[in-house]
Amino acid sequence: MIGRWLRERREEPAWGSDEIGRVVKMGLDSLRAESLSPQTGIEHLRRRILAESLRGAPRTPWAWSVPAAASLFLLAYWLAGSVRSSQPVPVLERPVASAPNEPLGIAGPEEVPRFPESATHVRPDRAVQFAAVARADREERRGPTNLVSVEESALVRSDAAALAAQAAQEGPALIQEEQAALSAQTEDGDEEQIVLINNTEDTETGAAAAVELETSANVLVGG
Amino acid sequence: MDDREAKEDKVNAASLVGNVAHSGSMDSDEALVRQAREGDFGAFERLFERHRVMVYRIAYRMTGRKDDAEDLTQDAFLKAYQNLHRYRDEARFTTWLVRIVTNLATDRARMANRRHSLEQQEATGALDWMTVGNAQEDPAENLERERVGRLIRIALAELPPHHRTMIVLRDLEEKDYQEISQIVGTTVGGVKLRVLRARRALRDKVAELMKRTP
Repeated sequence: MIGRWLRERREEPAWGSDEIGRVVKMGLDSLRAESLSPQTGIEHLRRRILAESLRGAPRTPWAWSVPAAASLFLLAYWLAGSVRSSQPVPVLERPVASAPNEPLGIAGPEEVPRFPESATHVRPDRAVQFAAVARADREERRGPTNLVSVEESALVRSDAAALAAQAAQEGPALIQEEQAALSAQTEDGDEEQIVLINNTEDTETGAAAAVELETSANVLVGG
Repeated sequence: MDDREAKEDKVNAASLVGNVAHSGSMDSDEALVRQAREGDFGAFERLFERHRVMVYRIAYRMTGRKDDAEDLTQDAFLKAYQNLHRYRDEARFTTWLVRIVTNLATDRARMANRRHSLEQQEATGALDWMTVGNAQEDPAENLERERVGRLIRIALAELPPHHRTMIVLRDLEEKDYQEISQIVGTTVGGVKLRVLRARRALRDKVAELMKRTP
């Protein structure tokens, strides 16, 4: 078997002397004798070479990846710019003072650095409104937050009434005293009177007394 | 027409012996390749004129269609021109060129299985206008030769591309084993074995066709 295979490899077999071999040999001779001439001329080839060169050589990967990367970068830059120019979205930032004391290594809660008050972030208005609304909602949910009992509230009301009556009694006398003092110090100037007026506004007698005092002071000053 | 054929036969004959005749001179294939690499398109034109008939012949025998052979000839020279920088002087230019055209023909044959029936039609004479007639003095012998030639063409068209390549290179182009081994990229022993198998396949195919069409 192996010897036969080697012999076949060594010797080129003939086509054979049978009918098939004769046909094959004649057919191959016929094909060899064919006169074949291409119609393709150098002009055709020149045009194709020119067209191929105009079409351009195949690009290397970096030749198209660089413009693609540049385009993506420009697109990302443009998107970032458009987002930045639009309406800013307020971010609720937690001030440092209210931040929970998180464990920072070995440092205890007392050693957590605290920023000065001026360095804390100013909460935006919307945040303030939000906090106020949230507080109101919470109070509504919880109901009345007054933990004072009924007796205590009655006591508070009676104390308030007593204080109001005392103020009503002492108020005119106090005003008269002050008017006397002012008339004695007419030369002291306007500033002191204004200070006096401001102080008077702080008293519990209310705005009516302050207005009355102010008019009398103006009369004394000579306005 | 006769003058042109005679001229092309001369060119063809020159291409067959061209590698010996031109080797070592300024007109050799390798020298023309060097000039073409340096941008001299005229040198490439001379290479084209010198070898186009051989390339066309192989392309036609591989494809069995003249229009395909024309396309393949152009494709082969175009590919050769674009890859001149890859050509090494270790092999002859014609060997390199034949390798290009056989590879292109094999690729095309693999992609054109659906056109197989059309090729058969053409080979059996339905498209005889595309083939070149061969005038012979004896009409009876001419008829017989034509019939047998047609039979072989059908058998070749039905062979797998690798067998067809071997028959074309060895039995039609009559290239030696050494050159075929350079063209297909294998050893001389491997080429002999492939030629043997291809011939057997051709014989079997011809026998089958003879039974089919008595």
